[in-house]
Amino acid sequence: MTVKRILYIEDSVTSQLIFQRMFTPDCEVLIAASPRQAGEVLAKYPFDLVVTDFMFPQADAYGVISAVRQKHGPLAVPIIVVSGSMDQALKSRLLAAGANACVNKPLLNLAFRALVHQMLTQPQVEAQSAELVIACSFQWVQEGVCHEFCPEAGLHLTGLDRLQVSAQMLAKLHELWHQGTALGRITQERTHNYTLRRPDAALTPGSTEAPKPH
Amino acid sequence: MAIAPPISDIQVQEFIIRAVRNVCTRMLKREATFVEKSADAAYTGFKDKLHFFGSVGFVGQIDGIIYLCIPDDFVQEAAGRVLGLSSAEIEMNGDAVLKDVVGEITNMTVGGFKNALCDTGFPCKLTLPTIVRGDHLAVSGLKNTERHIFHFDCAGHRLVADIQMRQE
Repeated sequence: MTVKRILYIEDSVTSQLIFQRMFTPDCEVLIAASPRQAGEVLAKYPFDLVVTDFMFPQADAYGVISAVRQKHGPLAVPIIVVSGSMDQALKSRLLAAGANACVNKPLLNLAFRALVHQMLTQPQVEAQSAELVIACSFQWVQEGVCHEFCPEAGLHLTGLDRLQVSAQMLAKLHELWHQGTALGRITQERTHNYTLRRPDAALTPGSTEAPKPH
Repeated sequence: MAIAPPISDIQVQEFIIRAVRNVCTRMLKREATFVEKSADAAYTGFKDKLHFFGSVGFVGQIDGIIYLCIPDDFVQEAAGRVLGLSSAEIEMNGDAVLKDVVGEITNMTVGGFKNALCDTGFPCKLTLPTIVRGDHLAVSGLKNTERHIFHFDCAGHRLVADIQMRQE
């Protein structure tokens, strides 16, 4: 029987050792301490299973999932995400992004071994809860007016009270979801603040150099 | 729409007890018993011997930070148990291994607490852990926060979870 190869992406030495003790010598375990290092290892070797922590100092597991999914189908290389902060919302997002299963740390030895064994022999995709969808919306205040925008639903609501606008958004999203609108597809929300500066802006009195374009 | 009511003191207590017990049982293979909720931040045990203080924050609809205060000898024992290393091997590796173990214990404990907050209707995210080791350590109270200090006994060692949080 060929020994299955697992890539474990984890920055904590403690968790690396626990994992290695759990699966060696039954499997060949390769460790990457960061998603970046994992990218290099994935480019060199084929794997039967990828297990990754969720949070790293400079990245999270979404990048790993998307890199693996660009190359392989969901059952060719299953992905298990483990995290101490695995709440229902995060789990739902990770499954939507392409993870096969999500597990809370600390790992329960027997259950986790069983899951790994199953993913190595009969990979499957853990079903997302039909009762839970995480819809993403963005809120901001402009000239005293509170705005909230949900890109998936194309809803833009405004009002003077932030909580009231949120309540209206939630009610509208519920209504759309019950009508069959697909929600919960946004998996990586980020807020970017861009600093814009005119390249030809004149020197202001007292300044010693011209503003540099970004 | 129903907006989630504020987290009550009883919920905070339930969440932290569950999180601490879970980590001690699953990771350290030890039972943790809740001893008391204390109003006194100046626990004298911190002066007697070396401690590790691990802290992880949570940010979102509810903000806060949890300090986990763990005696040094307990961490040494836990590291040996979890990593399968002898005391000599642990000593040889120095602070780094012990800090990593405390980081994981803190991360998982605060993660368990944070997951309970999220599943109750208060979405929030964790910050990365910070670990310090020393004697005479103390946790300062933050302005405008509710403070809850819980004491646990795990295999004869006193563990303290100091929670400071702010609800909108």
